[in-house]
Amino acid sequence: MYTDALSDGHTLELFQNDKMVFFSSGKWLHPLFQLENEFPWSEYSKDELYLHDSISGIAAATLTIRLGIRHVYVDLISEGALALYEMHGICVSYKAKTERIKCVTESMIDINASLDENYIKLRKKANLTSGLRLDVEHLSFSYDGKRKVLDDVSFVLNSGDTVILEGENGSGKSTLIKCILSLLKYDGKVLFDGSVGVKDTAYIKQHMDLSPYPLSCYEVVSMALGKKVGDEEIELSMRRTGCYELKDRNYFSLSGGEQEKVNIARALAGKARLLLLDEPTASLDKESKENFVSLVSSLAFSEMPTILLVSHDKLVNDNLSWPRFHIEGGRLD
Amino acid sequence: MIELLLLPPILRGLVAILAAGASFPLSGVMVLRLNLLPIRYTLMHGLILGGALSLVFSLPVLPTYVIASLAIVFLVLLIGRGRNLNLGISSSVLMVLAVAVASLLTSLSDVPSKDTLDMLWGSPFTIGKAELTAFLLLSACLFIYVVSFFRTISLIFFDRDVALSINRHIKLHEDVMVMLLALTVALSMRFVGALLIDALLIIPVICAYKVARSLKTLFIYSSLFGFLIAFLGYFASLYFDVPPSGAIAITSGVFYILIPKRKN
Repeated sequence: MYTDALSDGHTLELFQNDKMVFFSSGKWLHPLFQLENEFPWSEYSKDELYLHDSISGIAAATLTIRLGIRHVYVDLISEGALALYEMHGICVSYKAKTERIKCVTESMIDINASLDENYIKLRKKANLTSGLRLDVEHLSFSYDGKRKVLDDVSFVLNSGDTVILEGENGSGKSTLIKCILSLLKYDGKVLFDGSVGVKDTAYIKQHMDLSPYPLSCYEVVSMALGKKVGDEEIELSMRRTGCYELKDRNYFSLSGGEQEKVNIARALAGKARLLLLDEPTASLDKESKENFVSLVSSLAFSEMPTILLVSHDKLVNDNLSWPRFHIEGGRLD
Repeated sequence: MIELLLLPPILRGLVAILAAGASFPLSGVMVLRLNLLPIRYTLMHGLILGGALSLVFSLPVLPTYVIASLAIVFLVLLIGRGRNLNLGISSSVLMVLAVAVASLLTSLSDVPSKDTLDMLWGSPFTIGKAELTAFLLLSACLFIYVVSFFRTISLIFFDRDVALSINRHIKLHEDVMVMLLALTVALSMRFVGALLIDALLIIPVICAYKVARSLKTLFIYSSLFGFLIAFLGYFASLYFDVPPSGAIAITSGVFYILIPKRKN
């Protein structure tokens, strides 16, 4: 029975009716992240699942609710967590209640924010992001040594951060991306996870300046990979962005939206931890832009790479609702 | 005609031309995708300089061609390499200079210009064992390079900035491809001459463009068409008793006309 005392050493147990189907002895929020990643969710109906957790504050409640579990028993629950469970219609019972769990994550959670926003905060806190940290320090660039295209630009993107870089044409957005990638020689410093040298980065450009030639979509996805990466990984990446059925098509025969799916599959297959997207929606129609937003949003939740998106497309920027950097005259606001 | 094949020069020519036919179009794919046409023209003109040097100083022909080609490529890359692989200007300058130096050399040393130009036609029947070994080695290098680095080559063809951002040794690969082109052009001189190099280097690739759907099949079809053009052209030259370079060039033209464009 899921309300019985937890077995020795267990901090979390999951039951299918009366049968224990998962347990963890981890601390803090790790048992719930472990449950999210390791449990074969597709084999069970969530209505049949019962969770017994040792302690649940607002953070644990957030994760549990996102998992879709409807029946929860907690040994020690906070008042905030209880309110959150009830707000989402979860059938919750407990052994003891306290006003507040003494944990830093309790103050991180904004109860008015969406579950997804809080989930991302918790993933970052738990270091469960695939992204890398990007430090741009006092970056300046000029083509002729006189007029500065970029002037003392500094910012930090932490692992898993997703940011939109906006600005007018000619404000230096694309130049900044090229400097980060070391395609241009600049003054200043760019660090990838604290060290110099571009690594684990995927670059998706606005204009590819290409004359068509025989090139399959499969080849576009596989070209960023080493020889050892096999077909399965490539297929998985293409399926995740919904372009697997295009694998034998010529890349240049695709629509702009389909090409973006293939480009993002290339980034996924290459296990990119930093995505630099330079106006990827510039030539897309409205439907393709919406599909693109959906695709990068889901990527931001599932993989949590660090993403810097250059865009001045209102539809895209409004739908993503990511934090924004504004660049004007080569300076970052 | 079978008896002719038993003659060592004819047999050596056949082996060399088949190897070249199958492998040199691989370099042709690189020429078209990396827009190396200007540097190829420079190489062809540089070989006039190589021919002049060979005649004036009585140097062995093929090594002189190879050294001249590599020297020109080195200079083109040294002068012209910027952020983009746009070698048009440096190629043009060196093309003019190479022909000018060749002209001065032949004039000052009293070598008839016609002798230099005769070297531009080439003939597979005059290939020696050492040259055959060189052809086979270059053919093997081309195949091994394309098979071993197919994904990197695909990436460079796709977009240079994207390739550089992935931080591979992109510039090194570009240099290797240009060097392979230099060697291919130098060795092609011995078969079909400077003026008809495209019959083995470029036309098979243009034919393959008509039917290929992926880069992999572009390489495969280019190699296959090159092999068939070389094979049929060589036997046509024996059968009709005409120069092999002309027969091979005409065969490549026939291929281009006859191969239908595949519908997407």
